[in-house]
Amino acid sequence: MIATGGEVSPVLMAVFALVMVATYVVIATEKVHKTLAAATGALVVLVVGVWANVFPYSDLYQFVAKDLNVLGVIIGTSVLVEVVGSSGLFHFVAIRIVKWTGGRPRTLFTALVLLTFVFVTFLTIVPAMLVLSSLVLVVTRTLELDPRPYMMGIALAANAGACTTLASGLPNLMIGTAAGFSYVDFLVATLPFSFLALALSWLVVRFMYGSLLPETATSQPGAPTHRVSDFDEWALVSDVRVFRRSAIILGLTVVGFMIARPLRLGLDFVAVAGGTAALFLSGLDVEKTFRKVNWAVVLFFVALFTLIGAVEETGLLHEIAGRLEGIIDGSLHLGLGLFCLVTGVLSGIVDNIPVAATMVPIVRGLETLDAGPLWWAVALGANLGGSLTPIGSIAGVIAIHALKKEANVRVGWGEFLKVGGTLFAVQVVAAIAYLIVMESLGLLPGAAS
Amino acid sequence: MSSRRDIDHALDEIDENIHLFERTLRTRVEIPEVQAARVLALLDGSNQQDTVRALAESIAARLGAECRIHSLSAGGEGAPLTDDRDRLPFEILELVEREDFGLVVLPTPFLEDYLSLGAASLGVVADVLLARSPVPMIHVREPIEDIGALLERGVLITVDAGAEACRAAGWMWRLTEGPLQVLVAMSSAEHHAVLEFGRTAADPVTEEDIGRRLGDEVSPLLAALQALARGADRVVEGHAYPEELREVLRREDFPVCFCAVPGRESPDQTGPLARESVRYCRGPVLVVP
Repeated sequence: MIATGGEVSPVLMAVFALVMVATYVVIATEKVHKTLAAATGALVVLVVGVWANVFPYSDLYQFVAKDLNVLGVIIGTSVLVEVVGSSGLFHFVAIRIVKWTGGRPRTLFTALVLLTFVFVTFLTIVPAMLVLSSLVLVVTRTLELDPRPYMMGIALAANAGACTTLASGLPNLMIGTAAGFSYVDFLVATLPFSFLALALSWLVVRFMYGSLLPETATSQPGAPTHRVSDFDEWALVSDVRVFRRSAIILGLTVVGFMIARPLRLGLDFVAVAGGTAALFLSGLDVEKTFRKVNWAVVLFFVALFTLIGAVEETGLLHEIAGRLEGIIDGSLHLGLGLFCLVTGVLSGIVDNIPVAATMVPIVRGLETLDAGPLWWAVALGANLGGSLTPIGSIAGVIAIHALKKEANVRVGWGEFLKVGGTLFAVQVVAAIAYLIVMESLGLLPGAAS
Repeated sequence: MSSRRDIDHALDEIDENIHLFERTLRTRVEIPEVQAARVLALLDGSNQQDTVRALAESIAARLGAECRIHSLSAGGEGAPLTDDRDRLPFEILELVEREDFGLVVLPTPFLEDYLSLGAASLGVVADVLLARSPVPMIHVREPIEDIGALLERGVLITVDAGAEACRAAGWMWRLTEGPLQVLVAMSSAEHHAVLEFGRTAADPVTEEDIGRRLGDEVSPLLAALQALARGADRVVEGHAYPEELREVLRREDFPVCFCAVPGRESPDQTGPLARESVRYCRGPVLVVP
């Protein structure tokens, strides 16, 4: 069972595979917290790996160091989003857009879907969903509308928005880091498709819930507070100076992401610089703000990188890559379809972060195929998979639970699968077609590493 | 995909956001413009005397008003209003009416010993003036040297957005020029009443419920002040405490600062909030009827 001469025995490989699959199963079934599950899996593979001479203990630091920038981006953007959120900027923009719609249900639906897309593009899914799902619940209650189409609309649009940039989602960041894509590379490759995915989300939800999206609301004209024009977007802005500064810092951070590569800086630097500037200029309590960072996710990544790094050392993922190449048999188009579909389906069942983390070394291990276009297939699949099931993405999870708790509206697996599953099928087909066309036209940025 | 704890945490945040959005739907209130043509400073020879004079003069200058000084006792500056101590508060009220004073600044010394005894009275003069004054009065509690710094910032104490609270906000807005804080906490009587009510209910009231409810009540006033602040490059912040006001005012980190509070519960009765504010604040307290 002990590894000798750089070769790892099949039995040892199977042990590592078993630990990784067991960890993913525990993460998917939520039997224990995902950070704890990943940490346990990482500890087991470390002990086995070191004991069986697969790798020396010191390699642990290399496993994590490869993706250290991901942790910097998570921490930096968390601080930035917390500070900017406290300034009232997100609530301000959201209310202003809702007021602009005049409370007309169909316009409101379109505006909320678009707004979600924009928020997710720049803020990632969780902060965007927390603000917009709350807004949906308040506005639909005020206008006496059924919240389901709006909530489903924003949940599914969020997954389309997550495709857009390198910083829109953590899978993008991991894939972008591994492939050496810049922020602009990501925009070039995925922005057109993100718009297409958004349009498809809008169409599918609009079609499925057409009867729940009337032309006009039934709000009583005699009730003055029951009109969207009564929302005061300034009511949550306590300090207009911090508000302005937050908007500027957020804008500069996005610009910084775009020009980081030419400046020979990393996205983590830009995110941490943005977070630091926001903290410095807002006057917020530093310790209280740091407590808002999701440290469980940061530690989850550390554990996951250790687990995947250790498994990669056994050659198991390389072996899987070789098998996949055998199936694909040199057809890049088949490869694009297979990687996009498999990543998408897996991401609909398991958290898309471990799925992306596992796919990264597999794509990296391809020898005969050009991995460049396949990175994009994995990136799109990982984000689109969130629409497949109610547990596929945090956006769907938030939408369903918030509907149940705040509006006593139940969206079951059947209803979600009907809407989300249809959308997933349409979007994956569109994504594969898009990637094939882009690849054929030579428009997909290639991998730098 | 997400642990139950993550979901619960997200739902709590959504709850909080829903609450914030709902607050933006509340009825709007107006902060009135306030003005006084004359400011009266009452001196009594106490340690607070210099602060009273300096504060009255600074405020008069800020309002473009005339500042007049009268003495409350023989030991003070100028001729005393009356030798009859029992008549003193009524003499002050008559003087205010007769000479058309729009604002009064007077010493109401802060006595730690009285607090430790649990004394309800602030002294005969202050008690009567709190209950009867038709114009805003600033009670100077402890001597303060830097009046300029004092008027740099203000704290408005209230539990609602009623007309008196809006007037108090108008005064605070006019008299200070820097950041303004709206402090929301109940008088001890109200606090105990709410908790008592909560205990008998099937779904008991929690401290968080109280803080949130108080914040809701005051949010229209806060929004109106923030609208003013945006045009004036000033900062207005709200802080709702689910505690008794006196506990908040007694905190070590609560600064000696200029506070304003709506004054009356009924035409003849001082509100408990005003009474507790004057009792427990070390900085000057503006009580607005």
